Amino acid sequence: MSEAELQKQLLVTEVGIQGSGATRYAAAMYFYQNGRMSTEMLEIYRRCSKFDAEDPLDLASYEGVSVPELVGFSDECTEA
Amino acid sequence: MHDEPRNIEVPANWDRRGLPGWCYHSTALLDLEKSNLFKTHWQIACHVSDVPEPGSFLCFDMCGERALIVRDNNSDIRAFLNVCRHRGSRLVPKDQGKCENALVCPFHGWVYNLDGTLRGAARPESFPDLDKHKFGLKELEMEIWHGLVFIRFKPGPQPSVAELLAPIEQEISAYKMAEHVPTDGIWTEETPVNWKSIRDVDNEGYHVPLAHPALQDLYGSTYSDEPYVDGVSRSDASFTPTKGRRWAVRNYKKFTKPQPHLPEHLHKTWLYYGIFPNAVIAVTPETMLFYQEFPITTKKSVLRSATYRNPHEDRQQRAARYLAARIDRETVEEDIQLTIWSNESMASESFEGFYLSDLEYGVRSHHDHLRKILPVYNSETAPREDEVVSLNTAMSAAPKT
Repeated sequence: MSEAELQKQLLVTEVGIQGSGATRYAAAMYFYQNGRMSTEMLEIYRRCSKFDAEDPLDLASYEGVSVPELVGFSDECTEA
Repeated sequence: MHDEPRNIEVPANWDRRGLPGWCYHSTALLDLEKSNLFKTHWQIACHVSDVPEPGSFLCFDMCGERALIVRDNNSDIRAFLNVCRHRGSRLVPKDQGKCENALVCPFHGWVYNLDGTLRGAARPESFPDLDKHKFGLKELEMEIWHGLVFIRFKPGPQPSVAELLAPIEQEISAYKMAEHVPTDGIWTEETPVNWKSIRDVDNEGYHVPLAHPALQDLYGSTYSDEPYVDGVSRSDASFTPTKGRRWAVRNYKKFTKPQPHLPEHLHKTWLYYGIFPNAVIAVTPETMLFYQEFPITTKKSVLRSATYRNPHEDRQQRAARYLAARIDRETVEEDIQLTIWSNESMASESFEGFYLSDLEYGVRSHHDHLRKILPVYNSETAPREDEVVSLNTAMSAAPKT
């Protein structure tokens, strides 16, 4: 598994799992550093990082922040 | 028994006094001890089995410093300061656990890879470009010795752990400690004494027949101490052939059995290795454990310990391990009381100081090691608190007689 594939798996860690907020945020940081995550969406993940039950995609939708394609299930993940 | 013979003779006409009483109450001296003794000497943080897989971590606080032991994605164990490079926050607030692939600071959200490099700062657009190594976690000196993870917060006078512990290497290697696994995790407890009073009690077996009936029942007069030589002491004891009068001892002797990996002379032996200034590794046929103490204030210390077992124990060995732990628990409680009494004596203006038996030479040898690091211990009268550091500096610079 490539690093990008691993990070994508981590990015979509199921909401509610213990530690998942930090896991998703850390993965989001990986994609931000590789130019595949916006500043706004990274901030959404950061705000959710301490709250494992908080779905960052729900929050992004609520606040009108564009969700990156890479969290879509059909997206092909390639090494950035 | 040893790889190399050590001079363990008790010298003739040795100075039987202990450290002056003021050494147990001086805050200025305690600050020196924290800085020049604890932080500069190797400390046991944990065992490799405490961080079994990538992302496993364990935190270890001592004397105001914070260490983080973590297993990285290559399964290598690393030691860092548990300090975020942004504002110095505790990066990992939990004592032990597992994270997925990265460490996230709970203060502002800086993210670090498991190899310590910075993955990214929170709100990265608010910073200039940050070099991932320059802003990575500060790595600590670390050495793994027979499965035990040693760290050092500052460079110090001791050689590598392997060199320091070479005199006991051959004997201890029989125990296959690196293969051991945890039993009950890390145990800590605060105790209302100066840390040296804990070590003063632990460094001699003269008190065992009177203070520790279970140990006496287990190994009686076979117990013997070797003093600290070049930072390492050793004590051993073999089980007496009697059945045992106390329930735990009687049943321990019944259930303990020869371990195939141990040579015959260690089948019925408990060994203790002191590591200057504040730690002991103890081995029994069933277990390996370490214990250590750290100062908090001149009147308060923390005891820290963990026990590990052979990975493939059967029910009988498990029962023996349980009984050994029971004997140990009883001994620890008894020792805690002794440390309180010993520490009280140091507050008395009437007490004129230790007068030690040949059986307590281990105490003196530990004190002599301390005096070598901090010569101010040699001051028989209490210096003014604001002069402790300068006096120590002056005494360090003075020619040795």
